[in-house]
Amino acid sequence: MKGIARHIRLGRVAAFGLAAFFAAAMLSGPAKAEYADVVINNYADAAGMRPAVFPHWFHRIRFRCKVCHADLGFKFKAGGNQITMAKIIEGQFCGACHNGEVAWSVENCDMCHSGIPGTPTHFHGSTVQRLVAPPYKGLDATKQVK
Amino acid sequence: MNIERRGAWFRLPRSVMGRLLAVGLLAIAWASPAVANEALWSRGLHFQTEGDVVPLAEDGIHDPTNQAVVKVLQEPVEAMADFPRDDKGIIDWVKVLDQGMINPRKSLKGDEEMFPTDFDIVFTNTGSMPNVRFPHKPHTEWLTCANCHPAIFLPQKGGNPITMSAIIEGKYCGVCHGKVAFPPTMNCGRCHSVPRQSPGLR
Repeated sequence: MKGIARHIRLGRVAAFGLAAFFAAAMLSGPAKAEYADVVINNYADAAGMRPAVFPHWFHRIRFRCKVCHADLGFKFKAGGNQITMAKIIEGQFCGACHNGEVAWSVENCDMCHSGIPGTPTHFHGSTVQRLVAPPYKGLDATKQVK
Repeated sequence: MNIERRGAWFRLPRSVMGRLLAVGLLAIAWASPAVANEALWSRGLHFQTEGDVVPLAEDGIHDPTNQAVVKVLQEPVEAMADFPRDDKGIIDWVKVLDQGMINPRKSLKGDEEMFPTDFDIVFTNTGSMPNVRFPHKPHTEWLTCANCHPAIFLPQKGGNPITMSAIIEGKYCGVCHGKVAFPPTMNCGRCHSVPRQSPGLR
C-alpha cells in the first residue's frame, strides 16, 4: 500500500514539473513582425544610433520589387548594400526617394532608426534565419564595421 | 499517507507540497534559459498569418521607447487587414496586385511599364512530390528579367540544380521565398501544383 501511494506521489510531482515546463515555454511565444522586415545594423550601433528597420510590406504596396532591386541597385541581401548616411544624402539607395521629393527626407532619424539597440543585421524571421543561420553570439562592433 | 487522501491533492502533506514546488521551480528555471538564450528578434516568422495582429512596438525588433514607433509609423494591420490570403493564411501578394487592391509604381516616378512574360516552366524532377510549375507571369509583374537572370537562375533549360535544401538555404527561389514571398516550408502545394504523370514512390 505504501508503495502505491509513493508511486502516485511521484507521478504527481512529475506531472506538475512537466506542466510547469510547458507553461514556462508557452509564456514566451514567438514574436512576429509583419511581412519581411529587414534590420540593418552595419554601422548604426557602432555610431550610437538605433539600427534601421526597413519594412518591405510598406514599400511593396507602393513600388514593384524591380524599382529598388533593379533601377536603384539594391542587392537581394540583408545588410549587403553597405548603405551609409552619406550615400543616402547623395541620392543613392534610400536617398533616391527619401529626399523630401518622393518621400520624406533624412532629418526624420527615428522613423528609420527605430530598432532595438544591439539587434544585429538580419532578415527578420526568414526561413534561413530560423532554419540555417547559426545563433547570434552577441554584437561585435569591430567585426560589423568592415 | 492513507487512502482517503487520494483525489485531494491540495491537502497533501507539507513535505510533498514542498517537493512539488521545488520541481516546478526547477522546471521553470530549466525551461527559461532555453528561451532566454534565444533573443526576441531571432524568433518568429517573417510574416503574420491570418488573425495575427502584432503591434510594431511588440514585434521584437522595433524599439518601443522610440517615439516614431509609437506615434508615426503605420501599423501593418492598418494597411493589410483586407488583403487576400492563401489557404495557409499567408498574404497572397499576387492576388493583391491582380485584384487591384494596390497599384505599386513601376518606376521611381511611375512613368515606365513592366514587361510581363507569360510562360510557365514545369519541373518534373520532384521526387515523390507533385511537379512544380513556375509561372513567369506573376513574377514579371513585380520583377524585371535582370533581377533573376543570370545571377540567380541561368536562363537555360536544366541549367539550375534547384533543390529544396538549396531553397531553404536561401538560394534560387529562396532568395525571395522565405524572405519577402511565401516560405518554402509552409505551403508545398503553391509550387508543387502539377499532378505527376507516374505515382511517386512512398
